[in-house]
Amino acid sequence: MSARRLVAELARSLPLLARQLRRSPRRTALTFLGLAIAFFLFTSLESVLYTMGQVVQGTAGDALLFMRPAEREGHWLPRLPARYADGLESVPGVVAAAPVRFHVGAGAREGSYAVAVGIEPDAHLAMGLPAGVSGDELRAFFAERRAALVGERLLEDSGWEVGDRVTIAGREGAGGLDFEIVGDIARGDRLDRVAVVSLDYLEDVLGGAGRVTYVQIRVRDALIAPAVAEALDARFAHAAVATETVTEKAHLAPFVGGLADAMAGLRAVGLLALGVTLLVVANSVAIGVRERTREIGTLRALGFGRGRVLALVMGEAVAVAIAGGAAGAAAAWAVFASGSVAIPGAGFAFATDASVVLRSALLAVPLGLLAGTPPGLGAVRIPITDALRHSD
Amino acid sequence: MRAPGAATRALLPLRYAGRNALARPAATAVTGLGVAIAVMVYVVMAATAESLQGLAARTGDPANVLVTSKGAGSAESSRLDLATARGVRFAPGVARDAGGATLASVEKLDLLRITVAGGDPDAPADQRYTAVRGVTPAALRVRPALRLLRGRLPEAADEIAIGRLVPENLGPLDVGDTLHLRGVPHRVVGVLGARGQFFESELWVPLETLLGALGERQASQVLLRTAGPEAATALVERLESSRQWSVSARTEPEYFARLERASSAFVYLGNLIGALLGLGAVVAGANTLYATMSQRIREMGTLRALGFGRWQVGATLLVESALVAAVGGAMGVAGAALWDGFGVSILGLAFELDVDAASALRGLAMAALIGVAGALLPARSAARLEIVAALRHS
Amino acid sequence: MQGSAARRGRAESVGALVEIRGLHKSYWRGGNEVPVLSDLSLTIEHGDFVALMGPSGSGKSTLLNLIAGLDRPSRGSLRIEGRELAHYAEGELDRWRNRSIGFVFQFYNLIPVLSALENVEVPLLLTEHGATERRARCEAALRIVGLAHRLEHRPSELSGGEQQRVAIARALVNDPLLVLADEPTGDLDGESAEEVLALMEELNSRAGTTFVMVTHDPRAAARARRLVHLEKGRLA
Repeated sequence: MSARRLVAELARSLPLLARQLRRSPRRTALTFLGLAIAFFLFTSLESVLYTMGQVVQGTAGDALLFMRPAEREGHWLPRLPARYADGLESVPGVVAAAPVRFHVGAGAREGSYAVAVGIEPDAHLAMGLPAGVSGDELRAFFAERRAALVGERLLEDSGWEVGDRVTIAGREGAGGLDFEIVGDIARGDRLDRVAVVSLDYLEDVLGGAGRVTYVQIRVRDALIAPAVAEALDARFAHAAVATETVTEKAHLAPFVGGLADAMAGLRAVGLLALGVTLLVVANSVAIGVRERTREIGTLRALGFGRGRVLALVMGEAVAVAIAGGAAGAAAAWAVFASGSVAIPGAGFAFATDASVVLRSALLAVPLGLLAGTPPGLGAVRIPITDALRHSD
Repeated sequence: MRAPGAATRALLPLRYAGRNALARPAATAVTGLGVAIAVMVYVVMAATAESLQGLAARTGDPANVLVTSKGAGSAESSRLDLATARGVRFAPGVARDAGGATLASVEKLDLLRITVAGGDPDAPADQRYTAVRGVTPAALRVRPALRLLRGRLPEAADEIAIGRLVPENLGPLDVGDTLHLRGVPHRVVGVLGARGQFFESELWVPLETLLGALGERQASQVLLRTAGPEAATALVERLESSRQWSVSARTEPEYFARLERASSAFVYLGNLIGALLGLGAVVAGANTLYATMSQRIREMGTLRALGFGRWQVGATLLVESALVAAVGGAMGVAGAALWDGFGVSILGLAFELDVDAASALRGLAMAALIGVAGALLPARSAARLEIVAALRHS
Repeated sequence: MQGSAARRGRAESVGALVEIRGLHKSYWRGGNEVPVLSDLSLTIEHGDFVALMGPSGSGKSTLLNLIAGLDRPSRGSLRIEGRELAHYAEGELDRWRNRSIGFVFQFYNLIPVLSALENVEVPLLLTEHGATERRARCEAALRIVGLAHRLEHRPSELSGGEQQRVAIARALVNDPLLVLADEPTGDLDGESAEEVLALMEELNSRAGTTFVMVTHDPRAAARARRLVHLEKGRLA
């Protein structure tokens, strides 16, 4: 029974299929509902995993490098001399370089964190503008020392709005960092979860002038990134603080590793749900086959081949699976696309991507095929005469 | 007239439900499995959330006072100068040991990128951020709940002690193994244990070593031991209002309590996932029950003819569903129990899953709920059967 | 099990067992009223063995269902032992049916997952008898129908005739006023049918059990003591 013939049988039998499904609307509806729930759960979990991946890696491309002190077992917030950023544009392959200082403070909601990123506005301009920042907002940012551009996600999580005067409470033994929000950074930009302020201002409030967390370097092309990184490190090889330049992905790798357990767990739950659903659908189809034993016998007596009957049963399973799977995945998409899925305490909202939803929904096809096979084989195994004699 | 005893007997014996369930082994198995999976996942996730929350709740001794620099939100970002650290030890209320020395521990806490056991120090994927604490022998004296399970505290500059659950984060490590800190190999000389406390995820090195390695001269905190919870609260007040010292003081449990909020996300997630799986199990159960009902219409009509009331007949389905759910639930709880004591590490925070009697009970209750919910509609259908039509059913 | 003497005694004091006067029953199909029984009057005495016969659609099964209390008449009076069935609420009717009526169905209607003994026990579960007494009654009933050696067998392990005899035992176990049989030999071969009919006849003549039987089978009719013909919902 070649796959092509199977599909052809399927197509020709569509009217019969439709009648089958209508035969017991309640069972079809319940099976559909069960599938929708399972696929909703699976797609939701995959979306959560997707977001977790995004948070930790951002839109991490290999064309962004981080220069940090070359220390084994480094700090989570290291300190590098700010002047290292000077003149790096002269290194071949470097488009722009800018020092960045990270400051982690207490968030607006109890127990949450808010990150402020201090930058040198001119240097950073060469790095590329954050998305969604208008010319006016940029001008306001340059004009006012205590101005900040805040990412949309941080705005949402903290309940802030453009124009507000807010404070990130101090964590480094110093007072709070207050600023006025003059613009927002669009969702999807790598800075959509932080507040961007001027480095000078940050240093004023927190002290420790002259030292930054990293120097960010934008490279012309991801392919030459490793070579450029080497060249940069060679430059400071004999300086007081030697450097280690890595791609953004490498920089964030330890965080991803730390979440590996949790992510594996969530994926396992999703797959378990689909696994059980496969059995449930198989059982449901099997019940249908049992109820239709005489009818199937009649079909076969009339000349329907084993292959056709098998195709009919598998077709029923695939049809319900696709319908339920699509419904569940679509529902998950709708929920996550609204942007309002925020697990309280997680500090950020979960989102999803069309690729995640599609990938999940497509699993319905193999699920349906697998679920339909055992009942289908059972249907063709019974000798025709026995089937005709069968009483309910 | 019916005697009181007849009411309970009037539900056909449990045997009837059990045998009917076994008469369709495949359907029963699938339905039971659905319940089992839903219960197992929910119990394990609830246990994870609880264990995580428990970490925050259990860490910290109410008789201890944690002193950081003024306004510091956490010990990692606190910069306490050593003079102050050494000075506050003599504040009134700080307990003393048998020899008369104050029970105070000056410590340095940081989060460093450590290479996992057997990993490549140059491979970013082999690194994990881990809490490293610089301590003196006083660190154990102020924490009676913390014990040395094996070996001893680090003394020399190249020695390190690990928390019992550090291997969950960094791979297999024990006394005699080597970990690198600032490029310097350190020998593991001891393993620390304190049931369900943060310290089990930490690496401990001598205070001076860490200060030297980080190139700093300021501590993170001083932990002061007092006579008891009341004395601790009094000391907190004294230090917070002190004009002599500019510090922030909290009892140790208070300090760790604010970290509890981060784990509420897991509770929410666990409940949500449990609810969805449970709903799926309910739908699967209802489906099976409707199917079994349609096979027994004449049988149910007969029972009605013999004098059983419509709700008694409906109840037979309820009992069957509850029975299958109970067995499935028990299996789910048993499956979850296999995970008891399993070590988990999330962003360097290591803990062990605690699947206890309360979790088990919750799992069984969930199973009961699923069993009943799945049976409601089919049972109602059965109760509404018209006797004559049912008896005529083929 | 009550003896025939006690039954006749009861008959004398109460009068007829079943008294039907002007009974009408119709069903609604679409918007139309379809009459099934029209102005039927009938009396059945204690100890009777009545066969209801007639072409299909004549309403004989409907009449049986009404006597059993499985359905309610549209109009008319149906008294059993002097009490008007229509006055009973549903719950009361269920209880009354459990006590007063024994059923024998064409397809036996035994519960497949229960043994013969357990099947016979089912009506007793609604009474106040204790477990030991229930078991005693069931064994006695099965002995009467000649199946004392097949107590633990499931219906699937019994022949058609044996299953019907278990059904008769079940019908008798609660000492009913009358036993209603709907085509009791309809699914049986010649030999089993004879066995079952012989049993019913014996129960009727020796123990005084009242039988009302709907049947097509002339052999069954031959065993009855009284034939009632129905045609288009009326007595023919």
